[in-house]
Amino acid sequence: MMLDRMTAPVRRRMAWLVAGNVALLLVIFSCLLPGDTISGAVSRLGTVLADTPRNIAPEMLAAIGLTAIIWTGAIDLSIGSVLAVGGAVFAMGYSHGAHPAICFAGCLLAAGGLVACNGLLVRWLRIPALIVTLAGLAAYRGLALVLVNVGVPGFDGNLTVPEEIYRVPGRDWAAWILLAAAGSAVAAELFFRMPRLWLAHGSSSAACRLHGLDLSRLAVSAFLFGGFYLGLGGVLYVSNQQTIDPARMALGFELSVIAAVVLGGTNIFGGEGSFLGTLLGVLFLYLARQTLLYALDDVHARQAFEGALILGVIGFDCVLHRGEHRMEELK
Amino acid sequence: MSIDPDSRNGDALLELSGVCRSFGGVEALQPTTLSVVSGEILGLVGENGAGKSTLIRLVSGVLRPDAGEMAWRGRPVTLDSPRRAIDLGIATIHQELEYCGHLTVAENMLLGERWPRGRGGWIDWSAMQAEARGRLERAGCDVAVDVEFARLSAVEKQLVAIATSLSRDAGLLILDEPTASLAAPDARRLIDHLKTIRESGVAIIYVSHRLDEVLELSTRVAVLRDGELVHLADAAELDGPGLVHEMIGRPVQQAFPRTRHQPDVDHEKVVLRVEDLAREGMFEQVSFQVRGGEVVGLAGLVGAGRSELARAIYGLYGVDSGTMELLGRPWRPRSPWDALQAGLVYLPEERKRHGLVADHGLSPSLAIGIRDRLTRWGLVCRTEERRRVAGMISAYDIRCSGPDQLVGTLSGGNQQKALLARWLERDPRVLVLDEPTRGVDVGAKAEIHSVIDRLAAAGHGVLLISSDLPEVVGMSDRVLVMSRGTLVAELSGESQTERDVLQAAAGLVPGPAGETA
Repeated sequence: MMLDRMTAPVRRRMAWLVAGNVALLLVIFSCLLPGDTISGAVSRLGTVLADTPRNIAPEMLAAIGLTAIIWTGAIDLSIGSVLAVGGAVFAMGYSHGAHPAICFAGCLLAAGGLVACNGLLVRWLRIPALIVTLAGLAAYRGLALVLVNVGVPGFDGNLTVPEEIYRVPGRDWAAWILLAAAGSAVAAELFFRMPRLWLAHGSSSAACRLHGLDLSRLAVSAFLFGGFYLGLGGVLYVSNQQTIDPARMALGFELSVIAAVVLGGTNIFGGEGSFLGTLLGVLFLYLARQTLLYALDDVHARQAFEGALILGVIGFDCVLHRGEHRMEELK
Repeated sequence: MSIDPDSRNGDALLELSGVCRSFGGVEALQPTTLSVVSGEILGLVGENGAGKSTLIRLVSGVLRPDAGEMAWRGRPVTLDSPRRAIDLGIATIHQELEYCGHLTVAENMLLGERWPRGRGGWIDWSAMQAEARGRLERAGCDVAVDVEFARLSAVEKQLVAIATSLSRDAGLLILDEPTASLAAPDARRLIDHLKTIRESGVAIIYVSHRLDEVLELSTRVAVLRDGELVHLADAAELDGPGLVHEMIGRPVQQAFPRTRHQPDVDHEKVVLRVEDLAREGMFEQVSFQVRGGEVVGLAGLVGAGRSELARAIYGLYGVDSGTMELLGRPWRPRSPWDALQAGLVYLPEERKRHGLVADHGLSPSLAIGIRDRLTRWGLVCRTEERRRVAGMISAYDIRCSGPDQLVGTLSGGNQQKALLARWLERDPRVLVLDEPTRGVDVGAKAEIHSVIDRLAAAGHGVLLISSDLPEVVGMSDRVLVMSRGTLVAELSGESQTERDVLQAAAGLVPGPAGETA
């Protein structure tokens, strides 16, 4: 039933990603085989898979949030810097001996609040989200550094967090938090009206206006939803780090998340996509990185291959259906 | 001015009293007093720029009037938003439908409403689809509700839009050029549907440039000219020429100004030859030729493959098989640029989406067609550009405030003339015109017809694609009819009639008058 409401390109992309993820798992398995028995390789593959939720949870949650924002035809380019602010707030709490729960809540509220704030700025200033969040990209990174310099006594560039209790959410609970949050998002897409209205907004804001829908409210609700998921992702991200370094924290995170969202079939201009596709997109990128980890030693070569892979998957899909796209344009 | 309660028509649904609106000092609608009665169809006609759109936007809550009053069912109202108009029962279906293409038909129908919920507050999709299906059935429409809206045909989209409006207890339905993009049978289907709706007591304001439709459907007809309501009469008292006279304030030659030329050597030369052209899913085994000085009509239903064929000839996409010749040479365009350089131009069906950039000025929009001829060593000669643009504006009587006026603010007819001028400045030998008079007023239409006639007289070959049957029959030397991607008939002489074209387009073999094949 969920698939019925997805557009053909999104369904097609998801099918590609399912096949791609299976193929990548087989490649990883074949990389583990040399010098090991089959059962040994299976065991090591199991370890890789067991670590997967913890490693991909922050990106997956952020991607779900960004998907909702992109559906409305907006975007948030500042999410990496927003995570840095979340990390700074966490560091401030930690350095003042706050309870872990308060540190995590502060991180969630700071990150989520800034994304929601982006939504409100887009609404009030009537400036495209691209511009507002591009400005936020620099402004929030600067804010994070100011916060740690002012709020963390003796801060010297990074802050080490040795206590295990501060890493429980990101390490021990990540899989469950991810399961609950991703499941809720998919359920919302399946059974609630708001995600469909976000898609409607991105598909034709004029149609929504003529039907009497409040576009500002829709846009802000998408940013609020995105903020919550990014904040949650931020908590898992921060609590999975041993050191907090706001200057370098989550650098390039937004590009990776946007790539996963687009890979998952979401139209970058809004109006089309699915949370399920996004989840598959994040998984695909993660498995691709794991594969490259086994296949290539050079970190720069791995980055180059990762980019080429994203381009390859989307490009291959587009080339195969170029005629269809042309017809869509000319309709 | 206020509405005198005693002077109100007891059945009046909507009353406008002295309603007016200006834009930047230009009076788009002069103080207008008008009423619409339950169960009537009020035809609203006028040239482009006459004030029809302004009136519609005021009534639908998109614009607020500068002065005047409105009353709905006898009570004064302020229509300050589309939502307010919808809530009152005023539904507007614009010429270019606004819809969410990636959402389903059911979702589009219930977009601004509460969606049916089941246990736990979750959307009950089955109930939602059943609700949409029920609304469509009550409106007499047979359209699947679980498909993407974008996949519906043009007439299905119109029918769904009407059913949506009626389902919201609309007392007044405003339709702006609903048949502009429909082929004749689909337009007939829609008109018959509107007659049924009228019988249920719903009032309709029907805006159209197709005067035959307006006269057939309407109870009364209101004529706007230069923002002023100049005539309001029962439709039974009006005829086509009289209506045209009221619209533009002068008599207009409505008949098609086609002059049949004596064949001569130049005119007999084949300028475009198409042999067994095919592209999977679009058209197959299409063969025809166009001679210099000839207007060849290409008729068919929407989706018959006419526009696709035209685009393939123009080089917008390749073909799977078949050959073409342009001016006696093999023709295999790789892009539209090849076509332009070879002397072939194409006027697209949808001028707003594929023909013009609305927020560009008129000057660059006209000059872009001859950019290569205005450029030397990569630099554009502005003096020459201004001279050529001024010449085009004058030669094609493009009514504008100046070469800097934004194209999007020109009337439909003047936009179309601008498009024509842009390409004709290249002095092409072959023109492919796709619905050249769609959505333009009767005056501009006559001017475009004159241009086509002059082009043919000058030896140009014209392939004229049109869903307007009188136009395609009246303007063409012969008519090719396409159905489901293939050419099914070539009509000329006495067999070139609207009836025969329609029969062929519908898949019936044209027979002698009075017989149904």
